[in-house]
Amino acid sequence: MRSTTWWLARRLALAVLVVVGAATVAFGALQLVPGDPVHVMMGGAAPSEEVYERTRHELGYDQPLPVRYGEFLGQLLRGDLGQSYQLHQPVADVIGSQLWPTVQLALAAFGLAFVVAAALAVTTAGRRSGWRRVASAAELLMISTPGFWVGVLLLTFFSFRLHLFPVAGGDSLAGLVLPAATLAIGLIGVFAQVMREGLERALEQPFVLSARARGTGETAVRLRHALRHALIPMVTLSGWIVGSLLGGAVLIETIFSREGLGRITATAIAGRDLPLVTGVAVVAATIFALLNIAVDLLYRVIDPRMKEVVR
Amino acid sequence: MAGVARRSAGRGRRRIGPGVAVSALLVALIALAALWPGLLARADPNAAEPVDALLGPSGAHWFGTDQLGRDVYSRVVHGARVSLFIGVGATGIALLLGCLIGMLAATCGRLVDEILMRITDVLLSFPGLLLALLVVAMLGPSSTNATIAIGLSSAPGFARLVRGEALAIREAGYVRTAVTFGAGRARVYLRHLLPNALTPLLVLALLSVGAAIIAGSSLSYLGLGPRVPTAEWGSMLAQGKDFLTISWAMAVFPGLAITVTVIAINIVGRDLQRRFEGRHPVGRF
Amino acid sequence: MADSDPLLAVDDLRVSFATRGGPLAAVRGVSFTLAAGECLAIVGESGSGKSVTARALVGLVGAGAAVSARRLELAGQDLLALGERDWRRVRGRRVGLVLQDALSSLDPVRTVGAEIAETLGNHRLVPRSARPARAVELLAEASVPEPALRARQRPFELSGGLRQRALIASALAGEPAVLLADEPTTALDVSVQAQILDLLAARRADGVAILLISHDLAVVGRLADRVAVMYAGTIVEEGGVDDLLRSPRHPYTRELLAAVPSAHARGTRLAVHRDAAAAPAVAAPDAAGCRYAARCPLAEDRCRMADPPAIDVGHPAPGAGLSADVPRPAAVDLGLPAVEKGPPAAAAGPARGGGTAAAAVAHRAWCWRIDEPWPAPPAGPARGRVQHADDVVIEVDTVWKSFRGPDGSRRPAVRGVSFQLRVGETVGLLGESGSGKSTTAEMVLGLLEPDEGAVLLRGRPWSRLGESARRPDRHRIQLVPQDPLGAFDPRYTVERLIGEALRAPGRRAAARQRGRIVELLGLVGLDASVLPRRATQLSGGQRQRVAIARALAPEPDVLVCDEPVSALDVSIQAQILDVFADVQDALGVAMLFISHDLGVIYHTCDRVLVMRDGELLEQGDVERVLRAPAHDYTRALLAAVPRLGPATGQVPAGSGAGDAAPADGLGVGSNVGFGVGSGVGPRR
Repeated sequence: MRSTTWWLARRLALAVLVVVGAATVAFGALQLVPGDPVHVMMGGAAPSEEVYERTRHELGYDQPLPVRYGEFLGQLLRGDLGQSYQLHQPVADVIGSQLWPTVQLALAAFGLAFVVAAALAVTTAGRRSGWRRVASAAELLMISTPGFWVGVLLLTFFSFRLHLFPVAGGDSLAGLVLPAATLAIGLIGVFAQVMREGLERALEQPFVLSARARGTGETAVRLRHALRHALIPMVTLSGWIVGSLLGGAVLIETIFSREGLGRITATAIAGRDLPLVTGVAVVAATIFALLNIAVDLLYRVIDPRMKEVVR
Repeated sequence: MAGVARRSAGRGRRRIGPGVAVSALLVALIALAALWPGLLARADPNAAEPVDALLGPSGAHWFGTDQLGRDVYSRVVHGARVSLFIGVGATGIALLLGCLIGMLAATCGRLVDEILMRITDVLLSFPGLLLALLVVAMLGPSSTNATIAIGLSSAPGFARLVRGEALAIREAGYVRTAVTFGAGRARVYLRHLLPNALTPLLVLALLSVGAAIIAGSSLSYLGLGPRVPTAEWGSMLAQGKDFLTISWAMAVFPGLAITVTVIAINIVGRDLQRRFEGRHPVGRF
Repeated sequence: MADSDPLLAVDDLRVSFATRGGPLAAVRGVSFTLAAGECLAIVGESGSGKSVTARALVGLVGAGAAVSARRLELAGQDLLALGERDWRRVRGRRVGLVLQDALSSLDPVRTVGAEIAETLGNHRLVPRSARPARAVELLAEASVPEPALRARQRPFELSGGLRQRALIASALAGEPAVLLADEPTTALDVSVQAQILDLLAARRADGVAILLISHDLAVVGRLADRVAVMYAGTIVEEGGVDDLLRSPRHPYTRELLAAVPSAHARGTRLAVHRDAAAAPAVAAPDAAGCRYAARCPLAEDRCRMADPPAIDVGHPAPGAGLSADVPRPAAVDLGLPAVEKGPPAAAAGPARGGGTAAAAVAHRAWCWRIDEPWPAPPAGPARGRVQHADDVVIEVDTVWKSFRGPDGSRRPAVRGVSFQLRVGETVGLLGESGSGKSTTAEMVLGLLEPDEGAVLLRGRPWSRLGESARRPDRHRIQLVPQDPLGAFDPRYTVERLIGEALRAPGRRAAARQRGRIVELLGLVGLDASVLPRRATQLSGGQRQRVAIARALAPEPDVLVCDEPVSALDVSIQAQILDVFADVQDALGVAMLFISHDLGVIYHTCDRVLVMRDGELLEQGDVERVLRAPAHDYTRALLAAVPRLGPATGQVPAGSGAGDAAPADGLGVGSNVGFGVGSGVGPRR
């Protein structure tokens, strides 16, 4: 047990490091963005010299870079993400209000993709049939199709033509269907292929032969023995999955005019809203780091052998 | 041991299937479109004919026209250049950076490894698109900058892979035996480590060209790709979206172009991957 | 059980697989019967179809396989007519299957108890709530100490022996009448192997019919009542275990027995074939004629024209007439008298097939030429036992080495080992897995630095040198690895592989050295035709030959051979051991020969070092150490070796494996198993 505590402590420390690093990258990147942030802050209007200087002072832009970085980190540690230039609200509030719709979208898409992919993989793994070939072809198509295009097509067909789902946003469940499906499509192909490969590898293992020799039925062999092994490579994909979900959200939310972190991010970057972009980066890194720890814990549950391997 | 020779029979040279052949042909065609678009589409992609705006597909305009009356087919053909440039360029950048970082991490001791891997962790913790967005915001929108952005955002993944592969190979029997022949570090790294770590990666890189093309078109869809009149599939799609209720062709054909390109690249890439796996059991077991 | 009504009846079983190149016959007309309480062993090398035969009996040959038979009956029920659903009722309940290596044969992410309970659940033998308790009971019946604890553990947390017992417990949980044991002891250390065989013998005594599949004649001799020898999908000879091992008649059986390295064979060649051409005919087309003819030194035209009939050998009087042409009759064991304290077979209680089968077994061989004398082995160098000078090449002086374990503590791997290696001599390093023999070898090779002590090369320091100081002398010590596949860069052709060792690493540089490379290949019985091939395109035997040629390329003083034959079939092993003998005869190179196999050590080495738990227990002349061991451990190791040859008391009286003799019965410690995988038996 002690080793697990140590492991967790180490992982948390690393997570903090990663979050600070992410914030630094975002901070640094936006220092290099061409253009004067003070002008951005003030909107289009040409301010008087005096007003400009005052704003500049208030924002701390008259300080040298290291001082600003120090201040930035200090605020970050206090949980203060600053004030959005464009929305004139505290960044924490903006993110707080936009986080949930994105999480909702991501979870729905992940759940959908996982269930569909697992069903595809379990039914077609190791079987040489036309059905399997059709499934593989469909997966390839899903991997190779840009999500935003699918979104546009779905939107046109189901919302504009058939009026089955709302055209824009909305918190309703119906409003979640198309965006989640669009986001899921890109994942299904990858999930199904990874799981099928894992299943097929597991089904060739001697322990599956022993299980069958005990009189275990095919379904039980696949679900009880092989599926768990097929999940192990899925775990290693977790980083990619989180990235695709959050990155995909940027596009999907824009297409479907949904509220959420993604859309806020796109506008913040386009408008060089430094505090908001940094805030999003910090939140994304935090989510990522925490999920990674959770996933590694899950990994140890799925594959107990991992406890032996201390990294 | 009871596996009999079930597998070994027929392990000769693999035949090229019809799907792979068609895909390879398509890839060649797209490459042609990127290099000499004039060969495939006579019409000027930027010649506006406002009278002919938003027409459906016809003999004169195979893919219809856009809101300014430009020929969509011609624009799709000319768009191949930007997409392929972004796809290949970004993958090249990612591969180069990834190999450099990965090999350094794997061969330069624990401290270097730890530092480099923490940095890649940080970069990996950004969603790829967010990182690319940041970079484009920093450098300004253009196709070169989109290429750099996507390359930078996929480099950490490659770095991870190279490092893992190199570490595994470093423990492989053939690296250890090379030492007993009196081979120096440099020779072992150059003759064994690098080529063996790289071979599986090259195929992977081909597959990631497809992903980079999609990422590039995503950026231009968001308005962060090449500047306006340039024909590019992502931005064409974005414009087409606004006119979807009037003309479906404008949004469908650029999307189709992306999908067909990426599928063709993926099919060829996977076929190569299978060929390599056949004779490339990395000494990991 | 009357003879007329066997428990299991197999007649003309045929199995073929669909491959790209057309159907591939793996089993071509195999027939046998099995009675309750009897053990029939099927012996053969990789690809002989023995495992496929076993799997056909549980309907698990795999998709794409066609199974047919004139008769396939279990207790009167026709197995061929079974659908998938009916098969499930047979598997585990009426026929159990035990595979090699429980580490991969038990689901690594599930507890041992859950695996055993699965059998109980599949056949609804015990109500759900009672299954865990029953699983513990079953583990206890398989002589697993602390069964309640073990049931909660996962396979990787158990030692090799315990794991194998758990696997057997899971196969026997449904109380099947027939147990198929497919290489049940391969990859286990000899001492553990002996215990597993005892456990199986006890089950047979309880009335379970056992079909034992093995490549190892010695294991077979210890457990089986009857033996069937398979070659390329057919049974070539069958008979009672004593008859068959004492007086083998089919040329293939004779080749196999002659190939077993032992004291008798010291200084002689083991293989009939000198070059690598004779590989087992696995994928031969379905033509008529004896499959073995292509490899058989006695073959004549009619052998290739038509399948030979079964010829009854009868019961030859031991020692009469035949003994002259049968290679080594009577106990092809190590030829070591008086070490073993086992009771005579008569006192062994329920052993040996309950008496029914043993007496009346017909001994038959499918061969016309059974009465032909076996040709003398090709005149070999016969290991002239070169007078080696007293020049010491390698001196290992009290070296210590420890590694950090997963929990951070330091585990000693080698503890104060000292020995010398002289010019032209072969020193064996004998030990079970985890004994520290490979670590010692790596220190000799200069791949590991000793924590304390030193290795000297020709009197000059070799360990604790900087790599650049060591490099000029690197060529003097070369390695022949256990797994040549992993030791070859997968991208390289044979030409480049050997070129690399000649300090001609590039493709063109290697081509310039082609003459020398071909010469080296000739030394190991290969010709220039292998030059353009990659490692994966070579057979196991060819690979090991290339590995030897490559190790010889830099003209070393010392070859370190790390279990170089343990992954090979016995006939290939024989060829490779001959190659080593030839090489030493030709070049006078000194060898440090690591093996877990007493027979191999005895055959190959002049002196032997016995290691356990990192300590050197004894060393000395091979004859002396193996005939009159000074250390208890060496004695125990010798006693545990299953030997060819009849009437060695294999089941110690009263043990019956029932009394919970734990895995450390020999003081080897159940932790011996932690290194399984590091060096025994053919795997995969």
